[in-house]
Amino acid sequence: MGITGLAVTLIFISIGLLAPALANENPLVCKYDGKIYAPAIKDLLHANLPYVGKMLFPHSAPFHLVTFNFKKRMNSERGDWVLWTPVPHGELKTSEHNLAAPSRSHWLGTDEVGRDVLARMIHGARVSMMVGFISVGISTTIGLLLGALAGYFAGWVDILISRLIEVVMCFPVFFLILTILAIDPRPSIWKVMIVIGITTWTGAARYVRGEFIRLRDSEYSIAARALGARPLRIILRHLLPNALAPLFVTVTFGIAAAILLESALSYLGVGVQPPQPSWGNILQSGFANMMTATHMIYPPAIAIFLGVLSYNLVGDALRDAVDPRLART
Amino acid sequence: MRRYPARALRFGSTLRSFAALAALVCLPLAAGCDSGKDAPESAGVAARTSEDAGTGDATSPPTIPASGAGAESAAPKPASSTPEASTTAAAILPGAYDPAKDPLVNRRSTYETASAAAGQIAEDETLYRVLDGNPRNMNAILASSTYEFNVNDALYDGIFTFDAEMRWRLNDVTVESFEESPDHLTYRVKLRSGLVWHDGQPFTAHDVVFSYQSVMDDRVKCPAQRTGTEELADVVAIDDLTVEYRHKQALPTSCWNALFSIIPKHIYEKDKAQNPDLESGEYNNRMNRAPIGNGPYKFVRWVENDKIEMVRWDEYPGPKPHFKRMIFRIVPDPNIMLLSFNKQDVDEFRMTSKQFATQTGPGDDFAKVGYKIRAPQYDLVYICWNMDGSNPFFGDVRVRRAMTHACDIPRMIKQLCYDLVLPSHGIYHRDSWMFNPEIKLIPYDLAAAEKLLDEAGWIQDAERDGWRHKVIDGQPVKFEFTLLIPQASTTGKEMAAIFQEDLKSIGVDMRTTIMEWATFQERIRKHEFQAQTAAWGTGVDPDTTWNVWHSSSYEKSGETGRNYGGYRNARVDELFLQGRHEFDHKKRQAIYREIAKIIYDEQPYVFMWHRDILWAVHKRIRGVTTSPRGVFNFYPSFAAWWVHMDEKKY
Repeated sequence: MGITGLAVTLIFISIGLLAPALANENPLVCKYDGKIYAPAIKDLLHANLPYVGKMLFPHSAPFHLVTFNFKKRMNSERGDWVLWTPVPHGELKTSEHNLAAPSRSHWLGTDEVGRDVLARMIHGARVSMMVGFISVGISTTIGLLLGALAGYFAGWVDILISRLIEVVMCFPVFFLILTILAIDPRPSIWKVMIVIGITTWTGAARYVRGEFIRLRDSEYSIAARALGARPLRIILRHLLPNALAPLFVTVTFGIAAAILLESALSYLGVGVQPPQPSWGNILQSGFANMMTATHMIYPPAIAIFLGVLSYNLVGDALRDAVDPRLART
Repeated sequence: MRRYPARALRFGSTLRSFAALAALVCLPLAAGCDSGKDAPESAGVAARTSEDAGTGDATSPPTIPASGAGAESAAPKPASSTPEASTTAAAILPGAYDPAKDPLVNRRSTYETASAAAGQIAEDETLYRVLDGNPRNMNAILASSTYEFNVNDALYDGIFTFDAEMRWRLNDVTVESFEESPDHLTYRVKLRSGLVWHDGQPFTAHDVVFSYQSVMDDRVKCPAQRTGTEELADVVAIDDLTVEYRHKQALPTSCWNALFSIIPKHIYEKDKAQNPDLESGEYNNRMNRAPIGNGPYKFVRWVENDKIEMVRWDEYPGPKPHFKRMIFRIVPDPNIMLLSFNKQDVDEFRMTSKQFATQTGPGDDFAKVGYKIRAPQYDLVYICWNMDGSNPFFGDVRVRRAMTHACDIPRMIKQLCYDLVLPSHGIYHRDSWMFNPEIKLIPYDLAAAEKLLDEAGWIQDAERDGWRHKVIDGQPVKFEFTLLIPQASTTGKEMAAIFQEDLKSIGVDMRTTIMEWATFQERIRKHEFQAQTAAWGTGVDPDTTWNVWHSSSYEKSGETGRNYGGYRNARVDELFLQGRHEFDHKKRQAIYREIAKIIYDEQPYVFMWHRDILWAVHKRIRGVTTSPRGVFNFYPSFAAWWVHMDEKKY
């Protein structure tokens, strides 16, 4: 199960990373007016490695123009040829065919303004994966830091941080995020990630704190202290590497929770700002059309289900792997 | 002294408490092609108009079905007489739907008045209506959202009201006679004697004065009522049955300022010393949840978030409504409304254009139970530009006109609104008397848009990235702005997606931000936006648009002003002032027509469309009338609805 989960997870991550080259209204490679261009690959590089992308493709006129439309300008008599991306539609490209059922040109159909649902799903995967990783990155960093301090120094530092953890745990995270985003004049996906990050670090912090309390009095930690090592060195060099493995479990569960949270927020219209797609807002427009265009409900619902399930499976497997009691039997 | 005898009316004149919201302003709504679920209206509802609103304009005959109480109704569009031409396609694509060919739309029976069927009316029927939210309470003067007005309309009766054509009128259930002083400054109303509240206590001039004082009391939170009421100098009880309204100014529109709701003094004065807001405290809370009114229906029961029941008041002094019971079911979601309607759990609901066009065809469950109503509505969906100088783009009329050229309104109407809206010719609806037939629509034309932007100095630089830039103070500024969309908007996101793509193709970068309604309103009131989209409901008089277009309304924004975008035109200001003081209808018409033309030419908004009234009613229901403001909240609306004995259901 863990392996299957890992496989699905990796597929989703690669879809997310490769989104601009999988679904794009511009060609993967093409010849236009005697020159060869690769606008979708440029988009891919630009999306994942902004600086490298700029260095490799500084000016590829006319594709650098936002107003350039290759489909209209292509002229095969001149020798132009084109290799489209697997899904030859941009996630924002509207068309006259709205709410069309799945067909050969639109594998998962189209939405209210004729945008390709599959293209939006692919770009939505990028958003979901990004939200998962970045928000959990933030929460794990905070959790690690505070948990390590509390566990290592104990005493009043521990009391203070533990109470802080308890206070933050008391916040109904979902409603807190809703409130913050509702009053925010400029909601954005980055703020969603940050808010998820700074409200969900308590699990990681408690985990790390527990590990540190256990490891603090271990022989090698006492030995390091006897040799005169500073607390920072002991924490970073000796304790942290040993406390890290079980943390991955909370990370994977955290990613699953963050994906679900982002979908819920986008479903309610406060997460990812349209027209940017996310699984949550695709599901929302599917729900609004549930009587007439059912084809819009299943893809995001299944994707959210699979995404969250696979991360949970990976988390489960990791937990089993690092649990010494299970390992012994 | 002019003297108006109380007119004898067929259905009795019940003052709709909705009308009592004599707010001077248009009602802000979330945009979309569907009226959908409106966010609570914080600033109330305009109810001011001239008495001759909507009639007799030869150039644009009104297409509102029933012309006033008792008039013979006819379906507004005889389209329903061609049922054989109906389409039976299961999934109707947008653009393929033609309401004129839909056999369920505007059936003659729906509009048939009760007068034709005396003696054959089922008098013990139940009407199940829909509320799209749970009311806060049922105190008539504290109401602020549509669902609260809908409930209060049945429970309370007042002194003045207005009809389907937005003509101001007396409520002759309560009024015996009415006198207006020659200087138009005082109205003297003589109440009928023997009027009582639902609990048997007498209804007198002191109730009216108490209500006026409560509305004007700062401790009572009723901004929707206060907006118009504060234009009155005073309301005085001369004796138990005579009440005098004193105006501050003699204006053709001042009659609309006296429409505040009436609440029972004997109930609400008891706890006024302790809880002057009429809201807090155990006693007020109890009374607000089990209200004592004087309207045609008596309150029975309220099951929170589920339903409100009321029953016809047998001692009602006016002509009684035909339904014995009226039950409001609280259904917040349009999909569920349709399902409940198909199951015959509710008898009416407001439809989305998608439901109207694609889910209620001849083959659907809907066709077995209901008919559809479609009629013009004077609201306006728009995109407002901020022209107050806070951004470098929209102060220039060429830029604004270019934006309109780039907005593919015909496509949006076809694709998002299923052709169920009317393209807007500016601030006034095509059927209203203020409409100026000289206005020519600005067409969708990207080439023209590009030309105008070039002229305005927004140049597309081929060496850069293709976005338009303009050099301002030596720095190139990118044409990039953010459109605010309220979250309640049904089609705002989709509309923006289309607009955004067109703008991108001419090098303009539009971003969008979705906002919760209260935050959205706060932002636009403080003018903290570059562009925003929403909708205006209509007031009953064009003077209500003063708040949106007069330059003084910019500074007053947030209180009474609604000139969010900072539109300024000296000629428009002057015309609005003239229009406010002009009693002659022909001259007023010329004034407002000129205003409409000037404003359309300057395009402070992209004037998108006017949404039609799209309503579903059960097949057995007759006697429906529509006003440019909707199906309810005018006289007589639901009070004229009836069911034929042979079609009785309950």
